[in-house]
Amino acid sequence: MKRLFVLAAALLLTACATQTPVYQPSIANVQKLNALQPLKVGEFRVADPKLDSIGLRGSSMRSSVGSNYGDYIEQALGQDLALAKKLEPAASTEISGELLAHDIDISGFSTGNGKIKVQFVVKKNAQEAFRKQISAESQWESSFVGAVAIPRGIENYALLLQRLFANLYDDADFIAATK
Amino acid sequence: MTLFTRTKSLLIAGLGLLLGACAHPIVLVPNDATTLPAVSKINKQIAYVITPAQRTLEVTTPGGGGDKVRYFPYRDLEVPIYKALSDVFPKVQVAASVEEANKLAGVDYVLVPTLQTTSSSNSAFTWPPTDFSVTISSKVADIRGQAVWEGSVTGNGHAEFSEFKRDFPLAARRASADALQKFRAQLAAAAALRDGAAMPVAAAVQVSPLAAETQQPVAPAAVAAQAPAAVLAKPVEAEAASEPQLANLAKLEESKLRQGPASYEVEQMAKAAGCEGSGAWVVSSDASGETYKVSCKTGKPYFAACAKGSNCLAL
Repeated sequence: MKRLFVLAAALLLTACATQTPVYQPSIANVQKLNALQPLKVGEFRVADPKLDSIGLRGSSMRSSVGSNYGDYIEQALGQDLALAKKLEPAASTEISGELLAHDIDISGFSTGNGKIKVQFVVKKNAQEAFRKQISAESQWESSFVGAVAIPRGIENYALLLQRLFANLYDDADFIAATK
Repeated sequence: MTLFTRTKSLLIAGLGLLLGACAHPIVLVPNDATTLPAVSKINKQIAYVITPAQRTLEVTTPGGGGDKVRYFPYRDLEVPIYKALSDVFPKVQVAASVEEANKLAGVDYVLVPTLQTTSSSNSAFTWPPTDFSVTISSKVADIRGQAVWEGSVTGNGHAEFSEFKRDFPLAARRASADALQKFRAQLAAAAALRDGAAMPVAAAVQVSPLAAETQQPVAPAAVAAQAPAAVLAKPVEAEAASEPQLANLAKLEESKLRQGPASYEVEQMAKAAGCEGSGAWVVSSDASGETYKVSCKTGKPYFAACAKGSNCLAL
């Protein structure tokens, strides 16, 4: 009965999602990976447990993948590589990383802001070939109405991740390390 | 009524308005679980055009209980469209405009997809749509702008409460999956794409203006029919219909008609001419093209003839 009530509330009331959205690769990003050799994706850690949750006007957003945002980033990167046909679990080149900072700020009534910083590491045959902090920022139209601002903030986390990956794929050192 | 009671009433009314006017975000991304049959690849390179504006296009259509659903059709379906194209063509590229696509190295074809969606619900209490449709209309031209092929497919999805209670956009996902399967099959079966012969009538492929992509809620019965779009042969200019011919076409019942690839374009033409109707229906079809009818609220129908590979003309 309690479960039915909760389900009914979710269906009848405003659906305030509390997890990251399904990540969709950007085809424009995927096309940047054409020159890469096959890669495997290693572990992405989170520098601070406080990064496991992002506050959204009283709600909180957690990763919809695994147990933290490192898992979400790891899966998203794997999707990009898979779509580019560059994902190879047995490859000798591995990309891994650590989430250093991220935030979705929808405290404003007209504009939402997002930022993220990840340290990426590429190892070739267990030897480090690349280590760099890559950042991305984004802005979008927000609203004073929480029922609008919160879902838009959630949607934009995936888009922020696309921007982060775009910045990584555009990095000349990254390309050189993964060719 | 005390101030406290009045304030409480206003707050409740406001909350009701906020909740009642809710447009719930959903995604149209289909589940990838279905294994599709292998298709014979077409040995051409293709680029598809989706503009930045299309990727940020947010559409709102009806849900249940008076609520609506909102989503980004181009953003959600770009990757599945890319995958479908990759199954048929050995190399697929993306461009932000037709001009950009024509300049990409090695490209043989430029495909411009147009997406249309409808949704509805038979539930008065739950917001997820029980019925959803996705129409993928495609125009393909070579890099000189010569039209090579065009087609349209519509996928439909249905889900009842017992199914969507664990996956709210289930009807939409099913519609997307259905549309993409048909899209993929239609491309693979298009002889004109394998031959690469341009259609004799010069028809530059243009990206639909954003204003033409406003989604309108349409009852499921009015969704484009399942009949696949025919592979185009030599186009011929549409012949102007006579008054007696139009009178006969006007008598055809809409319930027995289907929509076609130019239905949306003709409906917009009719609106611009002052005709408000609910859909443009194919009343005749031959090798040269199709004739559409829009039943206007004024009582007088609007007709347009659409030659294959060319624009539509009002009759």
